[in-house]
Amino acid sequence: MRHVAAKVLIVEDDDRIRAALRLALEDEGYEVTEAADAETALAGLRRHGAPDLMIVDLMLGEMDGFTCIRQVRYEHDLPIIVVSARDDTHDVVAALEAGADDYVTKPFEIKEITARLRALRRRARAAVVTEPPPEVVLDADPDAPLVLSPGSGTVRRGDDQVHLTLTEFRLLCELATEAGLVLSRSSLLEKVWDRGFFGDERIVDVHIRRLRTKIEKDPADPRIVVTVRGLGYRLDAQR
Amino acid sequence: MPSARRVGPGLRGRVMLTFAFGAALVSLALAISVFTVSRGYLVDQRERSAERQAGADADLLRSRLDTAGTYPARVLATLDPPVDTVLLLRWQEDWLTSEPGVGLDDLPGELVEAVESGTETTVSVTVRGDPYFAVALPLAGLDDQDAWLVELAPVRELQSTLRVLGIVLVSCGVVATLAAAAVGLWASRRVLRPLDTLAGTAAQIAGGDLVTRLPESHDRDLITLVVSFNTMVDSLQRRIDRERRFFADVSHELRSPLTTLVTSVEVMRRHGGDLPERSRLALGLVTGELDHLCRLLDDLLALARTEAGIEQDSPQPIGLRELLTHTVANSGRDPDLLTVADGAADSVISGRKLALERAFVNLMDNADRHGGGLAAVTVRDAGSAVEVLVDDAGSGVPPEDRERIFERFATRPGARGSATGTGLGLALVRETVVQHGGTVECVDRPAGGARFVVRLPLADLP
Repeated sequence: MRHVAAKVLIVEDDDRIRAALRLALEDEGYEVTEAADAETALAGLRRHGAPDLMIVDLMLGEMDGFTCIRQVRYEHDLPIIVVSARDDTHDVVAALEAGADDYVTKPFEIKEITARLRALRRRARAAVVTEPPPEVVLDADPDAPLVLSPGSGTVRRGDDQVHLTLTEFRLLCELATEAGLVLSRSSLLEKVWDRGFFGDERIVDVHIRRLRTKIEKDPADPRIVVTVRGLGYRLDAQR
Repeated sequence: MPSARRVGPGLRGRVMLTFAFGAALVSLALAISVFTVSRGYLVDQRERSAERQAGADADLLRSRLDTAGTYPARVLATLDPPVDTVLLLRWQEDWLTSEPGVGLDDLPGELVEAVESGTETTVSVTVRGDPYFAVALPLAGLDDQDAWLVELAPVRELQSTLRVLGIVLVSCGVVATLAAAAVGLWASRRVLRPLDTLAGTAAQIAGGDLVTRLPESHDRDLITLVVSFNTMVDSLQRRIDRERRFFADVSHELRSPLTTLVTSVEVMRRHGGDLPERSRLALGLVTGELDHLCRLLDDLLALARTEAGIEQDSPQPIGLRELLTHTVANSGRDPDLLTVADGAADSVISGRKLALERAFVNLMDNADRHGGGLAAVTVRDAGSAVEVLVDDAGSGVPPEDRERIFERFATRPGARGSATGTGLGLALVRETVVQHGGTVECVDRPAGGARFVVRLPLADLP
């Protein structure tokens, strides 16, 4: 069975890395477009629409990777993977805060990148195969109920749609299927990112933070996605 | 760190002791001088009053002896001296006394001699256990008569007054000393409060919080300390920032070309079937060395970073059983190699997951590469710590090498080429374990082979 090749946009200022990545990803069956800097990438997005995935280096020219990711996030919810030669802890967190879904440090094996890409795209495929689960009411506020529809891939607050990235949406779905139960950071890493026990748990924390700013009435005092100290996170549907 | 060495009384204690000692010294000096002066004055007073009394008695006695003639004993009885005063009259060769209990035998020899030789004198004497001032006077003006009056004036009262004075002075001294100690304690607390702040701040900084500074001070005595301290922390922070930047730069400069290499070689391997035999062999060598280079860079950066105290993640409670289960499984090893002793099943340590994983993987890799294969990994309880034993099936490590193998690039002779270790694995293990407050050592495994013992302190559970 042939499926339509996923489109990947590589934003990387190092020509040689870009060329090598293109070769490797094309071998893996991806359709690759390249951009040497953030400005070109953003212009390409405006002209041709969003690809299915983006790989962004943090050290670019004029505009750095963080800004590039933030700009993309205004309009698109596609999965973004950051590749960084600096595993400086601030950079990783800053990239995730800016809206990246995951990160890989150089030098990576191509297996690692493709594993990350696959994990982030899994939802789309899973939705086709399995029966769409019923809607979940996360907040029964009569004025503006918060409703998660896993089937249609949307979250609505009253009549307005809440814009979540694919990863945030999957994270919310995982929490919702086990509503009322604590999910540890490592199990969330496993379920959403396909990373195991030794994955970077800050990925989960940053995504939870971003999710809260979108669905909680007061993100500083979260009621729906609550932190269980030392254990993980729990979703409490508000009645 | 508190050592076995004896710890002195501390600054506070020393200030308190100094105050107390000073007060005791001053009180003592004051007490001695007050006592000496008072005593001198009182004794002098008493002596003079005794002499005045004796002079008056002598005049009275003489005038009565003039008129009453030859009955001195009777005359002596007519005198009315103050209470407890004893009068003795030497009349020609006889000694007459106003108090039947007291006689010539009771007087000290020197007094009697002074009278015999005709010297006026006033001396302190003890008669029948009681202290007196003895005043000896001639009864001048009596014709041809050698008559002397010896008056014994009691000083018991004076002595008890002096005793009370002494007790009062000593009590005052003791009270003053205690009060000074209390004031010293209070003052030292007050004065040393900035020191407490300093100690707290220093501890915070030692704990890795480099943003903390001492609050600015306008105290002339503290300003130098505060400024120097803050400058020192500033430069420490600058140095760490510089190192952090350096590692980031090195890592960037080396990792970028490696990324291209790894990715390109991967593409070549994928299409290995298209390559001629000789190129494929060469590609195999490139792949191997590239892999080694990547691990070397990884270990080198990790080691440098660990040594510089630049951490990737923050410490968190880690269940050692869970950590090792995942470590053994993730590195593709048989889960049955891991044994967790009953007492250590729930051991929780505070640590950095990634760093510890790397350390244990390094130990297991070391067993596989140099120790004839990993034989067992055991977690066991060791009181306030937990021990992880990594055993191999090799020929063991000779005692003289057991320290050396933890040094960098201390691979055994001939290892290069055959084995694929980076030479940094065990150095990184030691650095990581030490940073976690633990120890690692190499010993003999009872069943033969080498045993690496990692001992990590248990987390303080709230």
